[in-house]
Amino acid sequence: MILKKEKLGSLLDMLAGTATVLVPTAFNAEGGSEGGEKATGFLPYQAGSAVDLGTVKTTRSPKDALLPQTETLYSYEQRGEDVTLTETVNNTNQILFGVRSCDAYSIACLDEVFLTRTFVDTLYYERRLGTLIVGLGCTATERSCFCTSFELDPAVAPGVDIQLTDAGDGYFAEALTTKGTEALDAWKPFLTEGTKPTPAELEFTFKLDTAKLGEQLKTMFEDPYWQDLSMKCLGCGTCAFVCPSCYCFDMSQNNKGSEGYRFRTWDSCTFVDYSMMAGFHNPRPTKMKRLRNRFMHKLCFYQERYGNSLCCGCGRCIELCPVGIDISRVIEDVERVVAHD
Amino acid sequence: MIEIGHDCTCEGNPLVPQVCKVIEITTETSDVSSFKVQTLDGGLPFEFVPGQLGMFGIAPHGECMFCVSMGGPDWLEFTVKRVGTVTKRIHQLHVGQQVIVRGPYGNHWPTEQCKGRDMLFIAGGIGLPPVRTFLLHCLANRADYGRIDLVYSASTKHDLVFKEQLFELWPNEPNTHVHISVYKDCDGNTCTISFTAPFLEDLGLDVSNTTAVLCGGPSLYRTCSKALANMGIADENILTTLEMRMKCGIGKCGRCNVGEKYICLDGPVFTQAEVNAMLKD
Repeated sequence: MILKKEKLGSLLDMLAGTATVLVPTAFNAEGGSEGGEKATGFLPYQAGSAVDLGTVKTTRSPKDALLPQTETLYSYEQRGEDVTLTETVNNTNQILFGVRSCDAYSIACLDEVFLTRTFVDTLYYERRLGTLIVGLGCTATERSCFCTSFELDPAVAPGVDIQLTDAGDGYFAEALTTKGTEALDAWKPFLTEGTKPTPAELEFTFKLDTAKLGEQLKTMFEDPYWQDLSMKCLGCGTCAFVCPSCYCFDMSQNNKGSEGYRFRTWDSCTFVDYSMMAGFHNPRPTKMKRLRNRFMHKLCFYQERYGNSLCCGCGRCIELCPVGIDISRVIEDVERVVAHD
Repeated sequence: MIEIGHDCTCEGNPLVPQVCKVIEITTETSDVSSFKVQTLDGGLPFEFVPGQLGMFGIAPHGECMFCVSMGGPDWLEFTVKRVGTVTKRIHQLHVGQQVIVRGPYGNHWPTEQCKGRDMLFIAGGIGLPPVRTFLLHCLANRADYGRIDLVYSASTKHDLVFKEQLFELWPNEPNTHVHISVYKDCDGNTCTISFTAPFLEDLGLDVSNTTAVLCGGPSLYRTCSKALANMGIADENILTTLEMRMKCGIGKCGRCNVGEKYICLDGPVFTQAEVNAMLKD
């Protein structure tokens, strides 16, 4: 079935009546969409939103929708000696519309972390259950895109409920899960008959060999390469914050009088106090150790634990690192460093 | 979305603690105290196996991960050294005050696999509480274990924790030997001035049937694991409990990794063989 592009607005209008629809939208510093320096992100759709399905990768990834930058875990109140806790209630009902392969792959990584290995993270689980994901195949690439290096298919987003494929004047829509089939039923008034187009042949600036990456990285753990690489790192955390799959979080609390709440926020392993213990003992006291841990986690440790890479090749950190530390260059360097050893 | 395995070991949100109350506080040293806690209706906060961890804290001030140092039918005990912001607040607690507790987390001492073996417990300073959970299990099931040696050291005699058990109770247990040393400031009667590692070789142990349990600071750990290896105790028979910064306790927040292992979930108990295989920062 085909969704004609001129019907996109009416479909989003309809969907916005049933759920919060998060769709790639351009916005400027003032929060509007007219003029100024623009960024894109998955914002709640409303009539007149500057929907931008053309941008290959949004400045901000859809990670916020499932793992908000700040999220209250519970609140508490102290009356005399008595402490009462109130858990956060989560009624998520949202549609992530227009998710690319790299971001969908990242959500699958978050699923592994938060939903498996003994403990299920309740808040993530509730958000995830209340989320329908509509994928969008890529028709273009950006210079820093390298998802195919991790065997991703830019035409089919892994794990999404509905996949959209650009068909010129419309999008071919197909359901890939039961949830997607049910949802697509409601789209029918906006769809017309049509056949699935052949996905566009995409040209990537580069494709890296990542087959032996994990094993190779283990052998160069003590290499001076990490010292050289970390010299210019600012420890600003930008890489982790723009990354769609970085999931580390910090937990803290805010108090006001006898009340307060405990919350979690995104964290970055490049921050000095990330692993700092009481008494200021720090197992990763140097930038070298922190940056090495970051790349080892992304490209080796996560794979050892969950079976795949934690980098999806979206290239956001490459574009946005203020000092030009480039994960694709690191992957390229591994081969050379290991050969040199 | 992947199939969700509902193998969550606790009811409800694992990051939300339960409100408990402090029922007893024991001052161990000038900066170490033990806190017995139970649920508001007088019950056990959670079942635990020796070696497991628990989050313990105060709602407005945060929580920290500790090894549960002892457990009774309706209480758990945490032994806390005053080191940082939260532990400073914990030390200001009084009996009856309400606290937050969640757990249990992590793996535990392999008490079953060690049956029939001689046990060598080595601890330094505040490393004794985690080691003690295993020791207490052995003493409670005395017939299951062979000779027991506890080698405990601290900076000064004032820093020795659980003094009553160390000096009065445990030395009187059958086939149990308690060796205590300090590094300085000794009164000459209760303990000797000595480093731990060289002392181990003189204990005259049957090394082929000995399992060593080790917890202490980095230098104690380094010197003793080397001494144990020299004595011929296999890496598989040296157990230790590792320490890292932990926030979630459930293997999600990321910070307690050593290589691909999360100390809160895959640990804290590891054999020396496992530690050797880790990529350590």
